[in-house]
Parts: sequence; structure tokens; C-alpha cells
Amino acid sequence: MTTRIVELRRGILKKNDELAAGLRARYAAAGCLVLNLVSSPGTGKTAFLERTLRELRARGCRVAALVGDLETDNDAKRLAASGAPVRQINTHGICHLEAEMVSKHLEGWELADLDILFIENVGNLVCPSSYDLGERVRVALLSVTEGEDKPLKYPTLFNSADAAVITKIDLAEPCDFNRELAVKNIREIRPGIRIFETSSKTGVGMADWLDYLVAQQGGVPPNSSGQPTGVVEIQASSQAVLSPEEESGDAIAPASNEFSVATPARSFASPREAKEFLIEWIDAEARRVGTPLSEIERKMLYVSRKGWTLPEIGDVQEAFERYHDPAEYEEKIGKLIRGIRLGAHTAGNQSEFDSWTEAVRVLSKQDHYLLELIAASGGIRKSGGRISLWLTAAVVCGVLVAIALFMGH
Amino acid sequence: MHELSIISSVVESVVETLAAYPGATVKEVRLRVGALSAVIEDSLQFCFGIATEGTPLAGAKLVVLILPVVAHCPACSQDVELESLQSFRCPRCGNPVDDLKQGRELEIDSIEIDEVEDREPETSKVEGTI
Repeated sequence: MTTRIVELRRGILKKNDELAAGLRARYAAAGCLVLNLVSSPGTGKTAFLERTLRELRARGCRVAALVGDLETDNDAKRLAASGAPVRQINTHGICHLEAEMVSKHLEGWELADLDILFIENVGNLVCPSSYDLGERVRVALLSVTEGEDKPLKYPTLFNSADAAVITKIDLAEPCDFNRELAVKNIREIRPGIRIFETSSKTGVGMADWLDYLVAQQGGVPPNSSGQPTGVVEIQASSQAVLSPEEESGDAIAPASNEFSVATPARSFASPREAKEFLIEWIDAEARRVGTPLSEIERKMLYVSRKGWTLPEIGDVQEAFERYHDPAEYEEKIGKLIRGIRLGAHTAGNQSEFDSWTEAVRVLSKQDHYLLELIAASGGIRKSGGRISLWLTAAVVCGVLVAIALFMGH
Repeated sequence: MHELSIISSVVESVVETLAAYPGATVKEVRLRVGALSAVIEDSLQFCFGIATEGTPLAGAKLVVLILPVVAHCPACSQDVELESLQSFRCPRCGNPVDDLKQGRELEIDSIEIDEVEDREPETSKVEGTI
């Protein structure tokens, strides 16, 4: 007998990694953005994904989801109610998803027909971090009920994430959740990571998250042809709605769903939060009445000279100027706002409308185009006048900046 | 508890390698595991005992080399070893670091085997590459 050392220097999860690399190449070739959502059980991944799917569909995005759980297809049923194709992966005791499971469950789906695919991992903050699923973006989720130090306790996962989402932000106050500390802790583990604070219930923060997804996907999805499908299906009937993939019998039939933006009277920590709340409501109202807002129309609601707005607002304004009629736009938004007011009054739900009033009050601390639209919707207005002023202001600002830059040189 | 999946992959890899060494028995399996790899050594040891039963690895020793997290600090222009997993900052200058050079490894480094002398395998040098 002789003793011999045989060097292997081989990745233990080599097979998974190779399969994941193959998947990654497939996703990229198909132009499909794939995200892997990881969190503890109970963080609200499914509720977050439900809302994300629904709102992305409303924006005309072609989305689908794979959802991992040890047992049951409960989550798939919930998600399928969005109208998106959804498949459940039952791991039967395995604490994470592996590339092979994903690959198997993608069979029959044409990736080129999808803009974004979400993979909801098994609820677990440890094991999924070792398994590459070929995703381009790994998202770590943390709810306010879990405590601010979760990232420090699970550095492995948070360090491997590309984006982090703090969920249930509407419960931050009752939970004494320290947002600054949570953000600091996440960044201590993963410096520079993009963090979203969201509520799947009220919709706060969702607009930012959706914009991020669309940007990661590589552009604005077409929203003329496919846009209304998802929401209209939900609105039209509380019955199960099958997407084509589900009709093949492979996927899960969605359960009934009710779409509602009803929220109790609430307070807003910042003008930004108030603004997102108002825009979300207007957006929802637009879908409710069957005239969903296009990407540009929705983003135009964020215009502000000095207050918080979207980083890409300059491009949005430029696109708006080129493709939209300001008078028509203001007419459309005004109608929606009047619809919201009327809806709240006729339903006798004053407390719901109090949130609206409160948001407007908080937003009034800064100057926002949205405030003008809201004010105009309640009285006599000159069509087209407002936005042209704002657009002129934007152009003037641009010229001033250019001059300043030129002088600097 | 994904250690069992990991160890099962290890056993599978080692058994494949042993095909080139007929009759050989495994004395030791050495792993290189980064501190950020999300596995626990105790669990690996426990699972190794179970997973190797009835395989050519039965009775072998599992050696786990834990590698600390090393990141590149752009401010110091050098690779630095992190002092804690709760703070991804350079221990020298305190700046955040996100360019990891080491710490996520999950590798089989080598195996030590006893082989039958008169049956020298054709590939007697280093087996396998990363």
C-alpha cells in the first residue's frame, strides 16, 4: 500500500454552478431579467411579489414566477391571481432551491416571451445563499418585524445580495423599527447596495422598486398593446383567470382576487412618501377605470423643481414633450383625481380620503407638479397651461446648468 | 441544513475520482471552506459520517480548512483580511470594502488515499483541475 495525495481543487457545487452558468446564458440570450428573492419565512416575499407582478403587468411587462416551498402550492395560487404564469417548486424537505430544480420547472416556458422572471426561494436566510440559480439580481428581503440587526446575523446572504428590500414599512412605527439603523446595518454588510423600503399593503415604495426592475431589465416595456390585460382580468371577474401557460395544465390555477387600494388614514414621514402614496392611488384609479397610465404618464406625476423626484425625470420630461399632448394629459389626470374624490365620498369612507388629504398636506411643503394637478382638478383650469410652464422651467434650468458648466471650464 | 446536500456532492466527486485508483481506500478528505460560505463545520462533520456509510469513503477523516474573508481595499491599494463578518470595512483605514477576494470558497482541496501498489493508474500525477 502507498499513500497518495490527489489534488482535486474542485468546487463542491460545481454541477450546480455549471448548470447555473448555462441558465444565466439562456436568460441573457432571451433578454429575460431573472431575480432570486431570498428571505426568512414570514418576511412577506409572496405579498411583495403579488403586488410586484400585478403592477408590472399593469405597466405592460411580461412577467412570470417560480415559487419554492417545502410543501403546498399555496403561494403559487396566490401569485397566479395576478394573471402571470406561475409554477410551484416543492422541494420536499430541501431548504433551498437548486439550479436543476429551476431548469426543470422552466420546461415549456419560452423565456424570450418574458421580460422578467422572479424566483421566490424557500424561506431561509442561510442555505439559499450557496446556490446560484443563474439569476442576475439576488434580492435579500427583511421585514420591519424581524429587527434591524438581521443583516448582521446573516452576513452571508446579505453580502451576496445585489439589492435589499425592507418590507412591511407601514408597520415600522408600531414595531419601533429604526429605519436608519437597518439601512446602516445592511450597508455595513454590503456597502453601496440599493435598498428599497416598501409596503405591499399600502404600496409605498413600490414605484421605486418597479422603476429599478424596469431599468435592470434594460428599458421601458411596451405598454400600448399588452398593458391592460393583467389588471383588467382581475377587475373583470373574481373568478380564476388562466394565462395561456396555465391552460396547458402544467401550472397552478389562480385563486380569486380582489383589487383594492383602500387604506386607513395614515401619516407620512416625508414628502416623498406622501408623493408615492398619491401617485400609487392615481395609478390604481387609472387601472380601475380602464385607462391605465403609461410609463411616461405615471412618471410625469413625479415632476418637481426642487422637491424629491425621480433621477431620470429629465428624460421623462423630454419623452413626454415629444409624444404627449399636455392638455390631454392634464385632462386625464384631473379626471382620475376627481374620480378618487368622488369614490371616497360616495363610498362614505372619509377616513380613507383623510389619508389623501394628509398626503397632499405633507407634499405641500415643497413644490410639485402633482400638487398643481390636484389643485386644478378641483376647480376651473386652463388646459395645457401648467405643464408648459413646468417644461419651460426645466429647459431654462438645463440651459443655466449648461452655462454654469461651460463657465467652469 | 444544506450541509447534507454539500457533503453528498463531495462524496459523489470523490467516488468519481476513485475510478482512476481501483482498490484504493480514502483516508482523508480535505475541504476549503470560506468564512462566508454559509456552512457550519460541525454539521459537515456530522453529515460526512452519515453520507459516507457504505461508500469507499467510509471511515475517512474530514478536514475542513476555514478561509477568512479577504477583500481588496481601494483606499489602501491592497488586499486585507476582515476582522469581523459584521463589518465589511478595511481594518486598516475603516473604508467600506465590497470587492471580495476570498471567503466564499466551497471546494474539495484534495484527498489522501491508500492505493494498491501493483496497480499504478495511468494518470499518476495531479488529478482534476478547478
